[in-house]
Amino acid sequence: MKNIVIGRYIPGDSFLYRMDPRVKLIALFILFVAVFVIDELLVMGLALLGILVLLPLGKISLKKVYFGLRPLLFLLIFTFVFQILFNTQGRLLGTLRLTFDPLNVALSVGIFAAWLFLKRFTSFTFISFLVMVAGVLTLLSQLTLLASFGSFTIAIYEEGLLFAIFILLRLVIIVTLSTILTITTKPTDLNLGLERVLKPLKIIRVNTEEIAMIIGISLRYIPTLLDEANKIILAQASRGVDFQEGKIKDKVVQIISLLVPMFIISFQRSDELANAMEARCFVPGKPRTRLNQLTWKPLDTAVLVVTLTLMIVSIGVRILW
Amino acid sequence: MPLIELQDVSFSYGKTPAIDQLSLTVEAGEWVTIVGPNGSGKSTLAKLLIGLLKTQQGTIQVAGETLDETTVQGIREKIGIIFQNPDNQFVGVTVKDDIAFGLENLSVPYEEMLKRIDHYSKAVGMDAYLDKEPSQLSGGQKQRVAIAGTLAMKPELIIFDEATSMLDPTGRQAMLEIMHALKASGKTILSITHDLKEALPADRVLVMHEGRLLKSGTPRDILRDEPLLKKARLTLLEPFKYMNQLAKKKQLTDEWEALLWQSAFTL
Ligand SMILES: Nc1ncnc2c1ncn2[C@@H]1O[C@H](COP(=O)(O)OP(=O)(O)OP(=O)(O)O)[C@@H](O)[C@H]1O
Ligand SMILES: [Mg+2]
Repeated sequence: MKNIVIGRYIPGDSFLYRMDPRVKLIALFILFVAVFVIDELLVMGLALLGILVLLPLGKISLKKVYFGLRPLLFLLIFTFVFQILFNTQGRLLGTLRLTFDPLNVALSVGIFAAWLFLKRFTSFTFISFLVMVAGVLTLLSQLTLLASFGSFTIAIYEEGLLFAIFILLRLVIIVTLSTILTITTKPTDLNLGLERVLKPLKIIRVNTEEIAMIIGISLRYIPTLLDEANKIILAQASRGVDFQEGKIKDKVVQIISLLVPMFIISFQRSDELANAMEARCFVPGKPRTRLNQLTWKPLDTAVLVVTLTLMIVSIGVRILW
Repeated sequence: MPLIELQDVSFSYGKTPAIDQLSLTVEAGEWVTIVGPNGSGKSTLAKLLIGLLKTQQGTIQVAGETLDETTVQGIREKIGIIFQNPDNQFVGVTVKDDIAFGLENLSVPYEEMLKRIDHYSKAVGMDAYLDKEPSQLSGGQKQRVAIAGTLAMKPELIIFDEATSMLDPTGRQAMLEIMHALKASGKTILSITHDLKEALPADRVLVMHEGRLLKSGTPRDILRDEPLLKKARLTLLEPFKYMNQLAKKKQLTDEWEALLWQSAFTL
């Protein structure tokens, strides 16, 4: 269960690792702005190309980025499909007529069940999912031997397709950039960087140190909480609560049987944690020295200059194109 | 002057007092173990000592200073505490950060912090784990990190509130060894436990019951007093049962006593 934590730090060494976390956060923000300013598919494609060049330079393998993207794959696919199905502007590119008859529906269900069963044994869940969907679509559109009881036409329009690709690229770029940040930055550094970057908010009386402390402690306790949830699920399962199957009513019981102990444990934990922190002389708001120091290097200035230039270029392109 | 001195201290969460007119002293350099049944007020006493709870009656003095709002921060620098649950006292994201937490709070300069982290992580044998996260450590290792974090603040007294009760036998043994080393280095130890075995190496054992002190004495005095142990719901180790039976029949020779005492340690 520990390995499902999204965006884990993976030790390594490259200029991406050596950058100051403050700069990484600011650069990420600048690039986000740039990505949102871009409104041409071609430019967006260039941006993705840029990232594909950046990854090997920063010694980050595509596989690691894929692990970052994986939890969001279905969201990405959903957005993509949604755009294609419901955006009906521009030239009609083609249609796919799906006809349902008892035989091909049964076969499709069979293929789906086979995928559900087989996906446990393969590490290519996503690719096998695509193959499965392609198989089902081919079946439904080509094979109609018996009397059909319904049909559905998928129409793909030029603008819908282009816009779907555009949105997909934008999401992939955003998630990839964030993944690069979390892969190359230790949680402590990230937290410290965040604290320093947010420091100007002090003017409007936001206690940035406390926010950073809260984020830090949350980061620290995510794996512990997941472990605990796991233990509770096992304990409840041994008492007969079934977390896999069941009707809605059973599901509610399952969720309550997980949440109630989680809440009680969390309250007790936060109480004990507060005691432990106070016992070690923590006083909220009191100035503290820090173990993790940040140093600004020439590299950081260079990165800021490059990202700022990219942002200005993308704004320029948008205005002038 | 004793390091810790309690005079008629009382505290209650609700109606029944958790600590009831308790008076006791702990000398500097002493290893004192507190035993007592569940709910006898041991943890409450520990929390009163480091000012997490406020006394409702009586006074607590630490190194001659009376504990109140103005002195509590200074007194917390003199007293370190290790709690029962290893997971609920690990503040940092990594071992290094956790050891540094207390030092950051004391505004220890950066260079000095590095030195102390290095020294105290070695002292508890966790120097190879400095960059590890708590989820990669065993309960015993987390407790050792907690000790390093506390020792790095250079307290005079270290309180262990059932710090070994969630550990496996190896983890317990490692903790006991650290406690012996602390004692040898001149630190004062106050250990709270249900495990009589942890009371054996102490200089003095205090038995608590319903917020009061039933008895204070050497481990030997306490172990001989079977009615007292029964009242405090403590189970005696086998060798001491034999020892007490022999003593009753007046057959307990010095050699037997020494032998049985030895065997309790190696159990
Ligand atoms: N936060 C609290 N709120 C209310 N009552 C409490 C609280 N903590 C402890 N008590 C009560 O105070 C009494 C003393 O508790 P304390 O935790 O000091 O006992 P203990 O000797 O440490 O027990 P144990 O061996 O179980 O740790 C008990 O009756 C307990 O129920
Ligand atoms: Mg207790």
